[in-house]
Amino acid sequence: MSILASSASPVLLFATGASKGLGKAIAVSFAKAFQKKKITKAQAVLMARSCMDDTENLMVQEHNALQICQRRLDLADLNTLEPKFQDIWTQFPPSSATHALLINCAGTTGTVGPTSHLTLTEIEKATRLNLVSKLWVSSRFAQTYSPVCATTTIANISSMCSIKATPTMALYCATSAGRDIFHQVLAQDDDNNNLRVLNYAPGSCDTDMQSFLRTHDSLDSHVQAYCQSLETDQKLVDPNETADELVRRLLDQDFESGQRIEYTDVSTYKY
Amino acid sequence: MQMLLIVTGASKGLGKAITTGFCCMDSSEQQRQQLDRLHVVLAARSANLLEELGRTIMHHNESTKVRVTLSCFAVDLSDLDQLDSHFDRMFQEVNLSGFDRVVFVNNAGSLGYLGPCSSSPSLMGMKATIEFNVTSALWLSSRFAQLVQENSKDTQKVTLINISSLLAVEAFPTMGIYAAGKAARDNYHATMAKEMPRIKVLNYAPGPLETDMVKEIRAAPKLDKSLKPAFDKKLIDPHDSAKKLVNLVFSDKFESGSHVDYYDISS
Repeated sequence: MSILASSASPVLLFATGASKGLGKAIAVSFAKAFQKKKITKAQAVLMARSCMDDTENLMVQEHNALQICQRRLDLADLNTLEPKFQDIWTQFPPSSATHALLINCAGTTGTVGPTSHLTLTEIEKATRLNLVSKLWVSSRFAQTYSPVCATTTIANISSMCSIKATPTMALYCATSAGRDIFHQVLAQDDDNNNLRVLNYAPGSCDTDMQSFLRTHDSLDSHVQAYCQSLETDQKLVDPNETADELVRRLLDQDFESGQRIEYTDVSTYKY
Repeated sequence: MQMLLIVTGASKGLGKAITTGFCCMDSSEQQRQQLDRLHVVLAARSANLLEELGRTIMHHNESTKVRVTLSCFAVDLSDLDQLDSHFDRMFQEVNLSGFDRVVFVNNAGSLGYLGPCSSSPSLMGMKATIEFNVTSALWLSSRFAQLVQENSKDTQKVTLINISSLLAVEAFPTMGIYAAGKAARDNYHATMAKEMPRIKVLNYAPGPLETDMVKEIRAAPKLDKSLKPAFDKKLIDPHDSAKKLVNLVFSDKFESGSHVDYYDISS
């Protein structure tokens, strides 16, 4: 059922990593799409560690009747994760929406450098945020919303690193691969026949994450040369464009549940 | 040929089979490999089972020409706080450069929760599973890689085996956490292979084995019904799988960083 089929049905959107970069672009794309498709009853819960006023303002500019709520939280803090999400889900219960969507965007590259130089703390930090926290959030979201809502959709923001071993980015590669397959299984486990899961690799976006990699001392030299060439050749992906594509697919339900979609052709990743 | 073998999760199941696969070869095979000396470092939780395994190895080699020495460490590799000191103890008396062949088998692991992802266990349950199967395993491989970088000679053959699974590359319902851990491990090791041509890295999927782990799978109340037929039958003897792995390691016929499944290897 396309979420756009009935513009009067209430839609509930949860977006993590919403304060900047791709997360912000996705939230704003939703606002644009909701406005265009005249979706009038939409609530957006934005989650990030830092202030999301920028995101909220841009969303309001696109759609002035959106209800937007900001929730500051650190997904890496496992001690507060459960109570904070319980709170959110109590405030925005499944009964309040026909369609519920989770865009699981927050994450970390993890320490960049050779595997032989990584510390236990660095490995633990990356697995805690990119795996434990994110897998828990997706599974709890599915558990809470899919028994009640007509459609429950989860987008896991993936990366070409999940399918391409990239020197000095082992933590990102490992955790991306783990998340992708978990979300494939999540799609297979759908008991209620209304859970749709998408692994979406947005391409190398022109965000802080890319500029961090371009200038990083410990990034593999070939990978770095590739990242730098993306900038010089103007081949970086506009986060707004890839966000629009993701939002279109989600709202039109234009994907197979469990599918992995790459915005950019993987064969272009040459290093 | 002087060989150093390190195996985690060595006391039972596949870990034990791999250990005996390398340590209890028949004389003709030992001769073929020109094995003179074998030093074995084993880690597992059960001191008793390790001791028993140690006795089996030593007893077998009483009548062979191979000089075997053994160090067993009863350690819990899921305890991140103790991991470094366990690793230090395991390697403190080992001079890596004294061996022609070094094989590290990163095998210790657990199933984690079996059931629909949407009814996954507590957050702390997921954390414990991922800490053991991912964080701990990746760290042990990284520390091993560092040791190799600092101590190995160019003439040495160094092999790192990550015990993988079909679940690393193919999704099956109700096995999400296990799949996530295996996929993460595979990709980490594939990346390590690209970084370090010095080590031949293998992601080995041993096939569905007749071990305690499969008993756990069979008994899991929430295992997807469609998977039951695959497990409710006689499965592969872990010794057969171990034999294939041992032959593969000695033949060196695999690409570093690749995922090789038991069924990919012809007998």
